[in-house]
Amino acid sequence: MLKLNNINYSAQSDSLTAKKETKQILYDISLEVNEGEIVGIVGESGAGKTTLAKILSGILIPDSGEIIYRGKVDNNFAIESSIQILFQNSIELINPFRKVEDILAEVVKKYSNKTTKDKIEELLNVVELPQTILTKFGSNLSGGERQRVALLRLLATNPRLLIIDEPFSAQDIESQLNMIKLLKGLNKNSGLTIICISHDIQIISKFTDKLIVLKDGKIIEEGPTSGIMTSPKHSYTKFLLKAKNFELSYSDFENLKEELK
Amino acid sequence: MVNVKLDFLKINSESSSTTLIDNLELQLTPNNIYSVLGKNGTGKTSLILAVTKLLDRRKFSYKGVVKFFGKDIFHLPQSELVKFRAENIRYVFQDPIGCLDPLKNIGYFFERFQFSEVEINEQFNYFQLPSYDKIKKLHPYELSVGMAQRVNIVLSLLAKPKLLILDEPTSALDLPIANLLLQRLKQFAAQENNMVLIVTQDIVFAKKVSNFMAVLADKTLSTFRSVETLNGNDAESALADFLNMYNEIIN
Repeated sequence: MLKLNNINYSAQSDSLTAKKETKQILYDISLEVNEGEIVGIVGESGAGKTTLAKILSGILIPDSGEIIYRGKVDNNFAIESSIQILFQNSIELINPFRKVEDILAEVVKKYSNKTTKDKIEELLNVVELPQTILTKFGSNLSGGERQRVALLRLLATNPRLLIIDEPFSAQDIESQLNMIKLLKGLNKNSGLTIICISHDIQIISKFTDKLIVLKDGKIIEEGPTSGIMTSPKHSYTKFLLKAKNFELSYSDFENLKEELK
Repeated sequence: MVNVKLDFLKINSESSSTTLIDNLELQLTPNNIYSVLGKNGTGKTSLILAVTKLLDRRKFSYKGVVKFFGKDIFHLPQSELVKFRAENIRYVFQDPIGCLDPLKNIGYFFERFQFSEVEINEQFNYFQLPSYDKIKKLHPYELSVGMAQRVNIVLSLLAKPKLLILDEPTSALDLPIANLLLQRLKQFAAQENNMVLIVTQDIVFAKKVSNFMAVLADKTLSTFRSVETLNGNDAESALADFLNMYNEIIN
C-alpha cells in the first residue's frame, strides 16, 4: 500500500541557543506497509519517529528517496485525504471555543453522503463516545475525550491509512487498554491500515502485526511482532525488551553505547 | 517506627464548597517506597500537595493532623513549616518545566544549594543527560520535557531529603530511563531513614518500584498493601481493577 525506498531527511535545528545547523534526522529508511496491516514504529525520544510519521503522511518532503503510495511514485504527494494522521498533542487539536457537534459536522458534511446527524451517531459508536459529548465545548473535554474526538474527526474523512503518534502517553492504564481495543476494532471491522508510533514496546506489541525499531534515525530491525518479541536480533531491540521488564541497569546503557560505536 | 502519619485529612475547596479528599489516613515507614495509584482527576496531586500544606490556603481548607517524625507539621507557624519542608522534603512536580522559574538558568537551581559538581555530574551521567556544563546555561523552557523531568529528579536526589515525593515521575521518560529511575529510587529508599511517596497512573512502574501500593478513588485512599503479597483476588475492588488491567497489558 505504502512503500518507502531509501528516504533521507534533514532539518535545521530550531533550538533558541544552538547555532543554526542542518542535522540529518532520517537515514536511508526503507519500509513497506501492506493493506490491512497494523504496523508499529518503536524508538526512544529523538529517534525520528514523529519526523517519519510526517513523511509517511505527506506533510514533510524527504531530501532523497522514493515514496510509492498505492502503486504510484510520488514524492511530493499532496496531503491525501485517504491518509490521516493523529498527532501526539491531542489536547491542542480541538478548538476549545466550539461545540463538539459543530467541530464534527464541518468535516462530516464534506465527506459523507449520509445525513450529518446519522454519520456522527455512527462514528460516536465506533469510538465509544456518548451522545452527550456533542453539546460540550472543546475546553470541557478531558484529555482522553479530546483524543477520541480528534480521532472521530479523522475517521469522518473515510481514510484508508491512519497514522497515529504516541496515543498512549500520559494516559491511565484503562484508557490505554480502551485505545488498543479501539484500534484493533477499526482494523478488523473496516479494514483500516494503521501505523502506530510509540516509545513503549510493551503496549505496541499487544496489537501490531509488524514492528519497526528506529534508533538514531535508522531502522535497525523490522519483522513480525511475535518474532521480534521472542527472538530479537539487534542489541538495541534486546535492550528495549529488557527495559520493558525493568531489568536494565546503568551498565546496560554503557554496554549498548560500546556496541553501537 | 512510623515516620509520617496523616490522620483523617479532609480538604475542602472553598470556592465550590466541595470536598476533595475525605477521611484520609496514611502512614509511611522508613526505607519503603509507597505508590498511590488513581485515574485522572481523582485528586492525586492535591493529596501530595496537602501533605505539607502546599495547596493554596485561600482556596482550600484543611482539617487533620500530619505528623512527621512525631512533629505535628500541620500546626506549625508558616515560617517554621517552610523551613521544615526545605530541610526534610523534596517534590518532583508533574510539570517539570513549569515548576522552574523561567527567568533563571538551570545552573541557578543547583548553585543555590551548593552541590558539588562531582555529585551533579555523577547524577547527570547516570540519568543519561548531557554534562552539567552544557545544560547549566540553558533556561528551563529550552529543555525537552524528558530532560527537564530528569533535571528535577536529580535536583531532588542531591538535596538528600528524608521524604521524596514524586508526581507522575515517568510521564515524560522513555522506558529505559524509567529503569534507571527505578534503581535510583530503590537505592535512595535503602539509605538512612528515607521514604518515597509516588503518585502515578503508571501501574507497571508502580508495581515494580514500590513496596506498598494503594488506590485513591472516591475521595479516599485504600489501605496500603504490600506489593510482594498482593494478588488480584484479595485486593480491594479499586486496586483489583488496576491489577487486572496490569495483567492484561503485561501478558
